[in-house]
Amino acid sequence: MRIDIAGWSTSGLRCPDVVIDLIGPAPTTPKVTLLQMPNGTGKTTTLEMLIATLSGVATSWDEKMVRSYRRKGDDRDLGTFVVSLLVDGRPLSIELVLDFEMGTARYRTTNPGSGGVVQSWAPPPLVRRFLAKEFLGLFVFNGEFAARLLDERQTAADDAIDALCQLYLLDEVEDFVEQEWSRRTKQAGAKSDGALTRLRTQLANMTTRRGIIVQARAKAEGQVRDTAADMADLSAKIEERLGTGRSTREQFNEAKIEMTRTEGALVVAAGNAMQALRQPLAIHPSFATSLIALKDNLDNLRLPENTSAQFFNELLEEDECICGREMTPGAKHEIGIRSLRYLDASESGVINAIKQDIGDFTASSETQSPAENLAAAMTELGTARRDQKMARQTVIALQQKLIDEGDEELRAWQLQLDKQTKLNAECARLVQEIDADDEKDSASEPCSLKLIDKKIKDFGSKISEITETVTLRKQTDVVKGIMARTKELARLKIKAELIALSNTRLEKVLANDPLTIARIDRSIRLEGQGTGSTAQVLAAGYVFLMSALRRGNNDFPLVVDSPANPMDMGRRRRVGGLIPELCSQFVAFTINTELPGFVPALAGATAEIRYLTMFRKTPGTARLLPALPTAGVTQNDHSVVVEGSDYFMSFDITDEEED
Amino acid sequence: MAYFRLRTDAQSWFSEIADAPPFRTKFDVYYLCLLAGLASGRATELAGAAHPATDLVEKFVEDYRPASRLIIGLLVTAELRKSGIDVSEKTQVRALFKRLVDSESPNSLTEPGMRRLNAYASGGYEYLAEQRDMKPYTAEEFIQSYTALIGDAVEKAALG
Repeated sequence: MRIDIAGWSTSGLRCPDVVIDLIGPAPTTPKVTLLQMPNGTGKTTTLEMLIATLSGVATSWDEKMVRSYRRKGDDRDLGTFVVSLLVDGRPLSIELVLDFEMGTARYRTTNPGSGGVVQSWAPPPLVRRFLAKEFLGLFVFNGEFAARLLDERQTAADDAIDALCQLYLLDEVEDFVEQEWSRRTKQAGAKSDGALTRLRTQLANMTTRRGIIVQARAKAEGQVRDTAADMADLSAKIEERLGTGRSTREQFNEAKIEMTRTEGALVVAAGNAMQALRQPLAIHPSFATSLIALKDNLDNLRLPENTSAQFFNELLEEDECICGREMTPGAKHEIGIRSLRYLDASESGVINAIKQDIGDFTASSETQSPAENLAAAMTELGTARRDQKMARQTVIALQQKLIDEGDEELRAWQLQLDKQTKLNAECARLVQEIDADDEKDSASEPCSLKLIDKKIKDFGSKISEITETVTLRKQTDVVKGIMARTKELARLKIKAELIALSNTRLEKVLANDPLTIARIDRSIRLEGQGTGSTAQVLAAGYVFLMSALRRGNNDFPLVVDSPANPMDMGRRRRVGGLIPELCSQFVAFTINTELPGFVPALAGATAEIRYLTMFRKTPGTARLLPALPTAGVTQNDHSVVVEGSDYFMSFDITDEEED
Repeated sequence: MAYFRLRTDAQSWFSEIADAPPFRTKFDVYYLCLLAGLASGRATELAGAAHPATDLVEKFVEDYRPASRLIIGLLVTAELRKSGIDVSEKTQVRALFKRLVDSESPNSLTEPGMRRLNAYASGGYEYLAEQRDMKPYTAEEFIQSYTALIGDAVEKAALG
């Protein structure tokens, strides 16, 4: 499927009233549209409105959110944003209307191909899945999103792969076979009875619970990441604040150094103690006593014997016993049985080795015994724990003193840090409980996913037995297993392909300061370093996203706010040169300062570029009106849009001029 | 193949401290449980679904190879005590060794021998969990308290 954005129009919202036509006189959308908008012209609002209109989420907004889009000083009651799409060349438009008086949002969908006008958000089902808010975020975003792909706190890279490569289709197959089995069990007719109804209810409840727990896990995992990031930020801010200033702060800094030293000493002491514990004789004298007694007893019993089971086995082959008597069948039988009681050579070897080691390890020595080693290590550990505890208490006391000396912001940070630390621990515990594999099967509402899956399977098996759909149940499980495995393998394969493809492109884009993607684990992880420079990260994010967009079998437009702003000239040129070959439609909101390097590179890579310049009508921009070109200008009371590369390239306003 | 096996509830109990220094492998946790089991004489078989467990390794890990035969020796002494075998009864002592040790095995234990060792690790975990008010949250604190717990276990075993 190919989706293009043909344009949008807006009125009564924070951004100026304007009609943006991305097609113009051309038969199709150009590969690249550059829309120059000075800062303050509503780039962020436009981006938010594009996502809200396409995704249908605004009906869940509260009144405050709806009214936040009202333009200051504008007394119109309604704000509208209309997006026109081309879906495989066929028009589809969605209109979002914000009622500022009522504080509500409503939609209207126009689909001339089928259905006409519908007074709600109602894109065709095939399109709908691509208009989910999460999915839209992959191709309508500001420049920071590319950087988020490399942020370890985010899951954006994994989400992008799942969404773009449509791995959800495998989930749909799983759902379908499950529903089919469920439908067949309902056809059991006369065999249905109370027990079956109960089982079905239990299965439905447990399946619902699974969904709740999976969602809860995802939320808790996200909170663990977010709170960990907040904790790191807050700790850094607190430390930085505490690290500057007068005498209490100097004492605090010294105390922090001492705490770090004592923590290091504690790690070493704990390591030494654990190493000493790995010798069992050190742990309790009774271990040595019992082992020595064992060795003495074995010596007394003359175990292992010199005669081994092997000797008797060989004797059985002889015609005569060693005592000279004939080896009768009866004698052979008896010797065979009794030989089993003797140790064979290999068992004797182990026993001798045990005796040898007991002798060696319990022998008196001039060096410290294992018990003495352990005692020394434990004393060292005790001292290290005490020192570390004291150092920590000193740091806390000095920190409190600093807070008491009147730093309210610091106090607020500390409170926030405590809150986030608690939340982090709670969420981590919840994830642990959900992942646990030892939950007892007693609670009616289990928490462990493994137990829930087991119960779902058990209910399913019982229903299958009653409804005589055991074979179908097995087949259903096989299909579901194949789908799950396929999804896992597909993800691995796609990741490997994307990494290879992205790295090849990165070699070109970052030729002077190379950077390599090592793996994708929720986010993109770089080879041999935590992260790159802002510009490197942005370039890597684009390259990955474009590779992923290309990897899926659908074409989507990429709408980006400030695509090249943080990049230096070299990277702008290289990224700009790549964009036209990586996506079917690229729409960029730019300001004049990011044009050098980027625009010439885009123009060099494709002839299909539409240049639009837009500014708000204010007293500050009134001076521009007389100099507008004679053709290609669209204007209303609020804004001006000029089409054409000459005006675009000569436009010289970075920030909106009000006065 | 006989593996060292550790109960999943024991792994959960040690989860706050097991994955960071001074612990180097999961075998450290297994060993601390095992010694508690051998000291207290408490063994809980892992057979059946009552105590789910996971395989750790087949051989003694590097850290414990020097002490591996002493550990087997302690298993033998614990089993002699538990089964009430008179240590002067050569036939019975010999039979016990035949049941527990096997030089061909990568860990020098027979399948039943490994099962018993795992049972002592399982019983040792139960003993430790019962003796402490809560699961361990710092390795340093646990290590410091460990020798005292073993001392108590030996005393109680001698009395009982």
